[in-house]
Amino acid sequence: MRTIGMKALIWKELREYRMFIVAAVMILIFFKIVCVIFWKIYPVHPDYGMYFSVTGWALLPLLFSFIGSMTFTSEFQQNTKAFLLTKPFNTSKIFIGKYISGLILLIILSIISFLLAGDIAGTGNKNIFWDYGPITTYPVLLPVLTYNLIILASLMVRQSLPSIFLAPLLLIPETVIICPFMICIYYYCSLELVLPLIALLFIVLNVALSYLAWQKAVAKDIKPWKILAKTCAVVFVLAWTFHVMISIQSQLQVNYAKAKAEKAGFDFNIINKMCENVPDEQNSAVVYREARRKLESIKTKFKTNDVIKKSEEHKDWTDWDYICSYHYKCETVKLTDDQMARIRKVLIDDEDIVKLWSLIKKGSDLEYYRLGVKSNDYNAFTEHWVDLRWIMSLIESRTAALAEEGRVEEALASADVEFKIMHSYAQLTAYFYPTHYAISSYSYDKIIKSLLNVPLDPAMLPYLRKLMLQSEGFKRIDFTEQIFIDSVPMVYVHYYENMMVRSNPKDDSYDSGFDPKSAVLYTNFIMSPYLKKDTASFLLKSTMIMEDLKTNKPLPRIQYPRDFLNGKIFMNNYFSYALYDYLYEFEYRDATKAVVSDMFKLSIALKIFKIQHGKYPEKFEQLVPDIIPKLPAYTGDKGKLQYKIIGNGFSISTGNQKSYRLGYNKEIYMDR
Amino acid sequence: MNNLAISTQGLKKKYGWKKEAVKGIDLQVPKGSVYVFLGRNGAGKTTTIKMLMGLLARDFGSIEVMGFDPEKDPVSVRSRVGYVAENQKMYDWMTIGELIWFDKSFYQKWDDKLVDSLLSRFKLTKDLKLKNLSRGMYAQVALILALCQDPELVILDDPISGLDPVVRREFMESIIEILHERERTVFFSTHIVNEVEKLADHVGIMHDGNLLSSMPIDELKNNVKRLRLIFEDKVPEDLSVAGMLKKESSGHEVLVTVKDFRKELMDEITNKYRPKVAEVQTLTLEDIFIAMVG
Repeated sequence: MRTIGMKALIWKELREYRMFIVAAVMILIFFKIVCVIFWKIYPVHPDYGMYFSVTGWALLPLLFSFIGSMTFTSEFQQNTKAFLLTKPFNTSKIFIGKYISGLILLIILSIISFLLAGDIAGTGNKNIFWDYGPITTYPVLLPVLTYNLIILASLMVRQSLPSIFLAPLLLIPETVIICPFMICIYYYCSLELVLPLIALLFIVLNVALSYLAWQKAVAKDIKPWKILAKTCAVVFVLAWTFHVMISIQSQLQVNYAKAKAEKAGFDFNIINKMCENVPDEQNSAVVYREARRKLESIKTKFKTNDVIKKSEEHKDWTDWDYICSYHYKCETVKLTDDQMARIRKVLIDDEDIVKLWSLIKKGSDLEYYRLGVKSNDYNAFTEHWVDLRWIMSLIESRTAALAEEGRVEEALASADVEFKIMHSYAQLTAYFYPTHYAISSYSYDKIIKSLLNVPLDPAMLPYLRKLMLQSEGFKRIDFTEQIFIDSVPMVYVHYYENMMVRSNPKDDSYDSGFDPKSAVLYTNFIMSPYLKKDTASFLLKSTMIMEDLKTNKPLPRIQYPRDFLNGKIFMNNYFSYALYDYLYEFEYRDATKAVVSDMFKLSIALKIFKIQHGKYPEKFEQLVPDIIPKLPAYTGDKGKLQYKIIGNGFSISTGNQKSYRLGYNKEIYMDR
Repeated sequence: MNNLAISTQGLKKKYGWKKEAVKGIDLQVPKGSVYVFLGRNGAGKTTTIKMLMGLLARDFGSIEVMGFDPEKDPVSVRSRVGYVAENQKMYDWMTIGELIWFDKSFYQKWDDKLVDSLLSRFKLTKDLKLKNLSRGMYAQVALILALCQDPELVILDDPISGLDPVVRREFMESIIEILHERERTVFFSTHIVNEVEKLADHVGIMHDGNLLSSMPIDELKNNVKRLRLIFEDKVPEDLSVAGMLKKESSGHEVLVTVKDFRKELMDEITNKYRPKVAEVQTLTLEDIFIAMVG
């Protein structure tokens, strides 16, 4: 019988507000008619349907608001409260019945609007399909939240219209109250769940408060402000107690993880030293700044036409354009031998370029701090970043020039500096972006190309043979490990300690990047548990990788937590994101090193073959035994490197997806 | 206690800081009685009834309605009580039939025959919309709903106020008839006294938050009497009678209403003041009410 009571109550509510359904249908039909009329009068415009359907959708929250505001207050306003409440039916069941009725109405209205709005959207244009997205994703919770907020407001003021205006204001204190719980959601859940869960949290809070307000309103016949204030105070205290607890817990996690990471070999002291006033001669940032100034003077110096003697077809280009991109412009632009020789001379002998090269060499060798910009100054960062690219490009050109002159030792030394500047560039990238960008900053193929893209001339044979002898030492691939070891403390400092207010105003080359007051509020007070949890997780996972690196074992992926390799964590864990690519790189690091070394060696051998035979071989096997005694491990039967003759040149690549797994997915392409 | 349909002890209710609507009343309504709860407007009757129905929380004291505390177990109380509120409002957009269906779904017991007989007695049909009913018909519908769930106790909170005399008489007659047919406890609150005298077998009189009197109507009428005294000279200035509620003098004659009348009282007065004529008059309930609260 009691269930029948609930059914009767729901029937009564639905019947009482059936006009809303009629209204929604009428409004949407009206829109449909207007839309059709518009279409008939002016058919060239295709978007009426979408416009009117969106308008129809926009009406829904308004209707939800009215339903929410009237469901409960109508009993007070029509004075039927005593009649309903004197039925032998629990007040909580009445609350549930009314609440569910409102939700049913809301769903019916949504479905009607959804179907009709879809129909309107298709008016005059059959190709427009209604976007079903909103109904399937979490924004659908927002009308429900609106409904709940208005119910609470209506029970507080017991008037329908004022409650619609009060409802949005309630969000402010509610946000303050449940803010710590929101942080807990961030703390415990992945990002895709955060917004729906926060919406649900608000809904639960509003339902709970509405229930209390209703009980207070019907049992004691007084306005429920006092009980709501008390409840909110309790929730507030609970929420913040919970927040403090997880803050302490997460701080302990960070302390533990950092101690473990230090033990594993991460040098967090480097970061501390960065904060001290490092003497200029030891601070690469200072040296780099000088290099950048030098770069500016070189740019100015070569805004001329004296070296290249520019032709009509390239009148917009200056000498600087040719100098800084010799390594590829000499391929794409037809220059005379004379012009190319002049550029090479400038690149090798110009005192400013030599000075710049030495500065970079010196700066790259220094132990401390290779960034040279304030961490919050993105403009400066970008400028610095772009300058490093220019410097890299200039040094690449110089390597290519030295190679073409057959100066092996100098070319290799230049290539070495090229690696170093790449390393600095990668560090800078790691500081501002997830470190996988930093890893991709290393372009092995560019360096190989600058050393190898020499003229196919018998005069180059001695150079290539010497290079072949040195190729075994081409193990610079280790730098991905080094960037990892360097950048973990950097990521830690940048995303954790800097946010936790750490600044040294004395040192203009280093700054926390955060206004201390806002940092205190943001990190220590609001976001700290989330941030600390991620930091701890990042440090523990980095330590795991570091330990594997030290034992020099291959890293089977199974050793790492599944979520770490799973795309889900990718979104909400910035630190994991930072590590993500390392895992793939490191898992196959031995293979990667071998592959890069083999590609280099094979490329030299192919060049020698072409000079000797006037063409490239059909397959690698033709290189044995005259040029190389045997094929490297990653060629031949294993077939992991793919070789193709393309035009006048060739390409060696890791090719298929399987080879991609080797960790090296680039291609060496020589067009001459 | 088992013989009591309603029992309260020291029941108090305050609105805000100062206004004390009910000032600690001890109300006892025997089962099977028709208890008329009298009081002027604002005496605290409706507040008391709301507390009896669990619609209002008490500040102090205890309540038992059909053996249950309405605050702790409101459902048990409400399933045993038929209630018609003062100016009862129902869902005006419903028809009588819909309202009866709606109401019926909340109760385990329901007397459909009684519904039909009462509807025909009141000349009502199920398809009538509530918003089209007169006040009298509206009150009749409320009464039908209160009675057809077969309640052990019917609480009527001033159902006849606002009705014109003809409708009021008709309404009261139907109540009397229905009550004669079935034995129920009825708690009838009103300030229109003369209509309920025929009905009442117990009377409670509420005034300014206090329950002045609560007893069977015969006992009340025996206790509250008017003495008519005529003196040869003027009425003595020091005339004072124990339990005097009211004194009206005119010339040589004085009418004294007393609340605790006994035969010895007349002897005491005769001996003390020597009136020429001394007679005892029996009062109507309305007179008693006016004497007590006027």
